[in-house]
Amino acid sequence: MKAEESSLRGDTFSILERGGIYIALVLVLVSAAILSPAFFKPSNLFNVLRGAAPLGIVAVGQTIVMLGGGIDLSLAGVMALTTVVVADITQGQNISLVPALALVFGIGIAVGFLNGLLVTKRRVPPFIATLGVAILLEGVRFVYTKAAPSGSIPPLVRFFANEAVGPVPTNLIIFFLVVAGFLFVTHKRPFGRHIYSTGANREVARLSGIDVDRVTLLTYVICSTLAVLGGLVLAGFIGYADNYLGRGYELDSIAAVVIGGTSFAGGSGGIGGTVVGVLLLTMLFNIVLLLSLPIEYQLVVKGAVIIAAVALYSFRTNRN
Amino acid sequence: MSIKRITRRKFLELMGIGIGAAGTAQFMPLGKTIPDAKAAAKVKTPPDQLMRQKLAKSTFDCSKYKKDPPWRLAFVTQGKTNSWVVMFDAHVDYAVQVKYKGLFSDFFYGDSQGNAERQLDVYEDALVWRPDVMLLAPMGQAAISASVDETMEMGIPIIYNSSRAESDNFVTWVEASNYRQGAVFAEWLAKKMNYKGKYIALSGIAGLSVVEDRLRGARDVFSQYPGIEELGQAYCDFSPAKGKQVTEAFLAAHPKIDAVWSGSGLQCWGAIEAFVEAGRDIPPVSGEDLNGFLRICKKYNVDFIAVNYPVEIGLHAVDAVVKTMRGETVPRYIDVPIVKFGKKDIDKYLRPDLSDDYWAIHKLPEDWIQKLGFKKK
Repeated sequence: MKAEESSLRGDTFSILERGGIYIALVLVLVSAAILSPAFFKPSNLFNVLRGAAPLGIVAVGQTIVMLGGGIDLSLAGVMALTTVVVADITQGQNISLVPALALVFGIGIAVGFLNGLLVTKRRVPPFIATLGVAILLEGVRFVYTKAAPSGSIPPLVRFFANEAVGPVPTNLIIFFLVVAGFLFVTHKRPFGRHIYSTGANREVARLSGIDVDRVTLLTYVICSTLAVLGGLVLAGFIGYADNYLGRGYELDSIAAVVIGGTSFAGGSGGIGGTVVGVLLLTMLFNIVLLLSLPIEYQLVVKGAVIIAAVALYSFRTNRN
Repeated sequence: MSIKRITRRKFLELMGIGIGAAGTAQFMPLGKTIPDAKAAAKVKTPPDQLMRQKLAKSTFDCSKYKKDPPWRLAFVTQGKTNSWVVMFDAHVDYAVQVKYKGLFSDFFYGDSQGNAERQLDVYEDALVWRPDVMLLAPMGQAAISASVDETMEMGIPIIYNSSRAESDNFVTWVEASNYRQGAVFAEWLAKKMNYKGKYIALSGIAGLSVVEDRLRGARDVFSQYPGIEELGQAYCDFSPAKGKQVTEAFLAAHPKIDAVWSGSGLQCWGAIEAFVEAGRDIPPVSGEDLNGFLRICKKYNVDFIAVNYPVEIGLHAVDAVVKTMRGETVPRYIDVPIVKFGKKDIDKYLRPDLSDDYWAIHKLPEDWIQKLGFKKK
């Protein structure tokens, strides 16, 4: 009898462990249906998904870094720098967009390399290295703009960030392409396995013949490159060269990754969970607004979800 | 006259002195006065407004500070973290370099990099520099107060520039009212709704006094009209993108929105886009004299009210500095007048040739605007 009870309890925990995030998503959807039917209006769902895309894109990058055992606090800085550079170079015209994109993606790759080199070659803890780079980027941005950005976002960027193909937001298509691409990389390519191995146990991975420094460096390059893309998508959403674009995205992306089940220590989790984490955060933000709840509730709900997720995953880790 | 900006590091190297300080503080000023807003007559005057009214009735005899020019002026401020501050600081520069040319021998610019704790360090650096007079835009009310008291005891007059510290130990305070701005927005929107209707409120960053004062001013006015209902309020972090997301949600939840009260042109910009994309009529909105906001209002023929939070405060503050050093008697509170305008005057203020971050109402000559980088390439 005791063995049966134990088994039942084990099954329940197992379901919670494996599907907790999806159960939470369903609960939020059901709650939304009860509390605010406006949530399921097609126009609102369209807006929620469109709003989720920029965060989703950068959260995929953050997931890759965290799977490899790192963290990236510089991605918001990359997003903002991307915006002001593109706006300044193009002055709102498509004609100069190609060189502008080449430059900002170059900047993104360079920032990723800098983060990666600091972490792998100088052995700077990722938190400190990327925080330092974030501050550096802010300084560069203020030098570049003199705190007053000029120009605006070209129509082509606005199309990819703010329009729709049928009922599907264009930026959501970009998000899904990013997700599909990196799901393939992390699950089907050796590089994906190397990321998991490096994050799980760096020394064992190294002894297994994996170039862990190269893997780590590439995770930062991927993250910064996706931050450029996320910055463009967010900038195109409104069309304004915002000096503070992406403010808070570094922490929101970490929250989405953690809610989605990727371990802070690296080596476990995945992009699928992050996508659900992003959707959860975006939907909660939307529902709080639909219900006209004050910001305090929004923060309480967001904090509670993060704590609950971390507690659940910690429990799993301890149990294992 | 030699005008030079001295960095903290360089100065400490020169003087061989290091001074540290620590503390916590807030950002930007407390609530302000409402001397001429219609709304003011209708609402009970809050304590901080009474404080301003009391200050405005008193004067400060500066004869003990009288000194022949040139003077050494220290300006400790937030630092150039956004375009409003860029133009605000430029007014101080303009006054020192052009309007009062020859009256100042040296100028110390204390850049706090948008950080209230750092401002304490910068402030101490400025004191070591031994200025004749101190122009201060405190980022926190409490933390820097002890230093302000100490400075006045040293015989260095303090002029508060836009915001103030907790200490009452100062010569004069030059500012404009955030509370009044929010109230003026609300009074206009209420009239547009014929004193009956539903509005949404879009604020900047939660907890900042500049943001909360504007919202408080608005709610004090709206609450006078029983037929007006607030559908919801959200903080948009001065981000047009967030303003748009928030408004999209409000539009989904509420089939009828009669007005948008926005504490800043930035989030209202996003709100206008949200209305356009939802295919809904854009209701009357509020914002500031920000070029980008005016541009989108013109594009969609929006009925709006714009009220400036004057970037020219810096110029008036240097006027007060000069009076102080000449030993004149100055009012303890100087309320810089605001300008309000709407749709019919938009072409007077909108500058299509300048960037979205340009603030339309100012006292700077055109070549300074070009020099500050607002000209489109």
